[in-house]
Amino acid sequence: MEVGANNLVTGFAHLNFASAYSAHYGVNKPKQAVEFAKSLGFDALAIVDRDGLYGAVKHIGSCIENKIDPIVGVNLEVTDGISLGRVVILAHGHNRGAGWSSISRIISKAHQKKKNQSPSIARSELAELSQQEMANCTVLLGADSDVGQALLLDPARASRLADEWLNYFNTRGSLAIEVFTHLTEPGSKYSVEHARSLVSIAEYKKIPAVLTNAARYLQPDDALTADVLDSARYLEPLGIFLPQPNAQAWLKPAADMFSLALEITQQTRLAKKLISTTEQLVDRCRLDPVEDCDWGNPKTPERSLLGIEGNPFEVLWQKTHSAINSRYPDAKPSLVTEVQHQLSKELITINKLGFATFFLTVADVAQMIRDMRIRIAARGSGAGSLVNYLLGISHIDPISQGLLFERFLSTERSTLPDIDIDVESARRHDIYRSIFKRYGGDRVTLLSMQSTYRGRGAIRDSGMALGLDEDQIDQIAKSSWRFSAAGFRAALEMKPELARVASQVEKNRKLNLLVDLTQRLDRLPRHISMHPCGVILGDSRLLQLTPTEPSGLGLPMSQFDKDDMDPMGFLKLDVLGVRMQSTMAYAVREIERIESKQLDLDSVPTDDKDVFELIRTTNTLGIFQIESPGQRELTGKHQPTEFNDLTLQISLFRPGPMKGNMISPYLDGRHGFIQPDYFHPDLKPILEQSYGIVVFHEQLMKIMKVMTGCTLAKADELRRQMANPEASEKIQSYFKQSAIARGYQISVVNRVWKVLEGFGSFGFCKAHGAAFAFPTYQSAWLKTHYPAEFIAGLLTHDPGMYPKRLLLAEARRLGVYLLPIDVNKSTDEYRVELNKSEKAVRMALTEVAGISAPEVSRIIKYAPFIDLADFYKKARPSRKTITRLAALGALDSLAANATRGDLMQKIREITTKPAPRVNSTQQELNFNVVETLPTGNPQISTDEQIDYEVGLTGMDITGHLLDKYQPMLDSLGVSRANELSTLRGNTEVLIAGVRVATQTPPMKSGKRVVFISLDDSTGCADATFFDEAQKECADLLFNNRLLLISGKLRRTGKKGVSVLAENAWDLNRLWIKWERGERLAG
Amino acid sequence: MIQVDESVAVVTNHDGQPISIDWRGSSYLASGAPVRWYARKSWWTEAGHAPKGIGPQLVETEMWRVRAHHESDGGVFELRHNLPEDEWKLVRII
Repeated sequence: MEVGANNLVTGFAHLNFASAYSAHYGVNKPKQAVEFAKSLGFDALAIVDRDGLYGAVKHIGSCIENKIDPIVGVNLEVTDGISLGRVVILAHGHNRGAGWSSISRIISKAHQKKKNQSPSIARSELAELSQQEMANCTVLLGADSDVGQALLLDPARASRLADEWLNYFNTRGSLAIEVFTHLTEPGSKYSVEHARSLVSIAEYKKIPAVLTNAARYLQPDDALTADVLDSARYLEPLGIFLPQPNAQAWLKPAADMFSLALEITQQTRLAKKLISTTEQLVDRCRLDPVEDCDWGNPKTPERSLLGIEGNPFEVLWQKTHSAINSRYPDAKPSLVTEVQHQLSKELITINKLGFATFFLTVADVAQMIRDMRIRIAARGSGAGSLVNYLLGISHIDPISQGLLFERFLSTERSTLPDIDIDVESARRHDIYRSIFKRYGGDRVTLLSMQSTYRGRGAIRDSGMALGLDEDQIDQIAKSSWRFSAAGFRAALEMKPELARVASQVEKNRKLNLLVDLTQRLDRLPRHISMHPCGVILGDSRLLQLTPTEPSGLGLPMSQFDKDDMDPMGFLKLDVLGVRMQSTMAYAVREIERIESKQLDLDSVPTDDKDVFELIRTTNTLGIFQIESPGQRELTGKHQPTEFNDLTLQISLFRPGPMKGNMISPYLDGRHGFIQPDYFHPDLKPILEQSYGIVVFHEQLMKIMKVMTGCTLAKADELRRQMANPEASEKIQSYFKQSAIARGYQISVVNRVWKVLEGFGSFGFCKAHGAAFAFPTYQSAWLKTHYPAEFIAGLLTHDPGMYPKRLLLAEARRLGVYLLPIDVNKSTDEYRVELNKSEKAVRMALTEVAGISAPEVSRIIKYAPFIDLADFYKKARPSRKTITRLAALGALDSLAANATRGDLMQKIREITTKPAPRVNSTQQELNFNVVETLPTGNPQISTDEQIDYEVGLTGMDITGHLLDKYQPMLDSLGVSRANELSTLRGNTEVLIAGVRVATQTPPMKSGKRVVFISLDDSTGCADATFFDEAQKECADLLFNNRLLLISGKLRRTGKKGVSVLAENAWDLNRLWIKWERGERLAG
Repeated sequence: MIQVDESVAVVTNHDGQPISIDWRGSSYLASGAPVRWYARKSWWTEAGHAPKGIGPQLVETEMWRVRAHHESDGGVFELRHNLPEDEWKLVRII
């Protein structure tokens, strides 16, 4: 046992400490608490969070690290018809997990409540779950229990209430009295007298009494933070609610606790008894992490559930080997040898780590998802594994792409690897439910996450605690998004944009206080929520090992977060919903429907020349990852010709490499403007693909291996440590010594180290890049070969960054005909139709502004309709919806030869009467609409039609918004977007179109630059406005839809062009002048 | 009960317990065991700073109840001990 500086602690420990994971209550994180307790000489510490085990795993981990015993409990409300107040429940240890599983189930039960009901457990359930033949937990009745509360007012009633508890808790050690005092005013709650009365009732009822300090922070100073947290919990400013009584709820040293025992009991004998009873309970609650929580032991669903018999490793060996043929058909013997060699290497590592079942589990889930006919792709470093490729978890061939298994898994690290899988976003929740069904609700839960206080949230809650004006808080919070709460005061001094706030802070006492409070809240947990994609898979004991609570999805969610997974040995799967996957799945289904054939998108060849041809035109709208203006510009400069180019482009277009100015030397090398520098012939094979630039983690690992002779696994360990300056120092000397020993020139060694050292923040895992590049290629493939189906998919699942009307413009540019909304043909998706044997896309009903989901489903259900009356009766549209549908022409197919005007007039007439009900006698009202359609109203013009479309769907469907201006544009000599790339640099040009994107990225100089993209139906033209050019037209650039821009053409690459803008005009105002025959200025 | 709220000079023993109180020229001697507790302060209405490490004095203040006598005068004195100034106030006499 550890001995503190001045005090010898003989087995006494704090049995009630709430950590910061008691959100809006506790102040200190478990690690801090454990280290503090250790420094005070305690050999154990209990974590007792409110309503859950939120901080328990972190607490146990810190206890193991600091070599003290962990104790775990929970603070819960108990009910018996009425509330019985809050009690502490402590899990007993060294009973093969009986205590841990009891407390987990008690908490899960307490959370099975209706929405907005706070967690609580019925006393009878608590009694049942905490005792089997013997007690697995001890329930502590303290000052906040019904007994404790009654003692203040009516001791006789307290005695009766205690008897009721004794009726339920009759096994030895299942019940105890918690004695503590916060030294409040004599006679009040938590006073010494109050504690004394708890000792007395324990004596009288023969219930063991234990001493705690009901601590919620480590040191008295933290009490002020607790005040602010209380305010956040009550959602009221300080001064409105009854605050904590003083600053006594801290983790007091043993000597102080012993004095308190004396002060409470006023008798040495009773004080000694109180302390020794506490020590006994402490001993009973010391947990053995391995025995009690199955600490660190990987858990997977039982073999029978995975359909495995026998040794899992043998099964894995079999499965992977038998997939070689299908993954590498017609492979040359040398490749087969390489594959077999790599596979053996991976299998040996997996077997050494004992992860065979883990891989089989992920493969099983992947297979289940495929069986549901849902697209799946691996993301991240998992794509570097051949085993994953052969098991069908990933679709990227790691061998041809030069990916490294060691980046994903090695014996140097023994933690369960992360395998992240991307699925169709629209089906993600279906997948969750299927996983629950397949493995059973007792083996699966969702993952939770803890959000913590950062700058803005901390400012908001501190401001509320101080009762500051909401607008004032808002204004300060808004100006403070680039720094953490902890750095608030430093930021006030440093950042010029905060000068105004800083001067306010100087003058205003409360604002000054706000800065201090904000810094106190930094990084404290705020609330728990569902992790956006994590699912935990375990064996049948899962729910005994983790408490759960309901998630927004209705499925149970573990109270443990992602950092708790590895210590608990839980298998976490990240199932990420990706809209592009939904888009592609939809396109494939449409292709299969229209062409009556099967298409396996995952096995199309990745070297299709036409696909790269299309990408090189920079018309990449809708293509995954490379559709943004920046990526379009880079695509123009880069001119990719093969799959690896896509991986490189995606990996380079990130803030790190851009800031590090890695893109230009790469492009210069690629286009032969400079001779690439490979440092040494040995590195040429590694760096050739990126013209001497180190882009990928995998390249760094290989350089390490070649120059130092270490293994790739070791190289990856070194790479991970390089971010730490201290470790980097050691790695440097290792690298230099080994490389020099291997005969490399010192100048080469120094130059290479400089590159490796600077690489840290820029590098990217190539497996990540390749995993991203795959859907990039696939979406480009679909756009090249099946534009109609692809556009339909994009419109249905909307995966990208641009408005839908731009996709329509792109469709027109690709020659895909767009069919208007028609109640007899449209659905809630964008269907591909054959229109005179050409593929066309039918607009969806869901785009009509204000149409309700029931209206849409009735239209789909009852279509086709014979006539207007039939539609009106069955689809029961609202007046607004039917009017809008008619205006859009969606009812034209019901109106025979009548004009749109006739139809609209009739609708006005019938909708002034109440809508008919299906079952009412009103239905018999026989009005034959077609016969009685009025006549003589004008047909609608194309311009009017487009105006309606833009107004009601936000899209110009029938034609392009720019169409009507074409005569004027022609007379002005305006260039089309698709003509720009044929013009010489520095040509004076005019461009016109619909503004589709405006960006004002932050610039080093602080001057604003505005990037505008205009769509003119032939493509997108990009214009850049520097300071000078903005003077005349800044307003237009942010507010006008239709613009004419003048400027000089600037070439940014072989196909890349952009306009260096000089001025801009409102197209509509020009049009009015032009129609009047006025001369246009400029 | 008499509300007083005046500064007083207090002599304490080595445990910090008051043993005598000088008030308006008379010295009152404590008898029996004094009671100590901690009362709350509304720091948000007064303080201009609350950095980490400032200590508990913004949140709470030490209070004492002492039975004390001077000749035949006496009663239970309620004292506030302001820290870190080590300044004593007689709050009231009960």
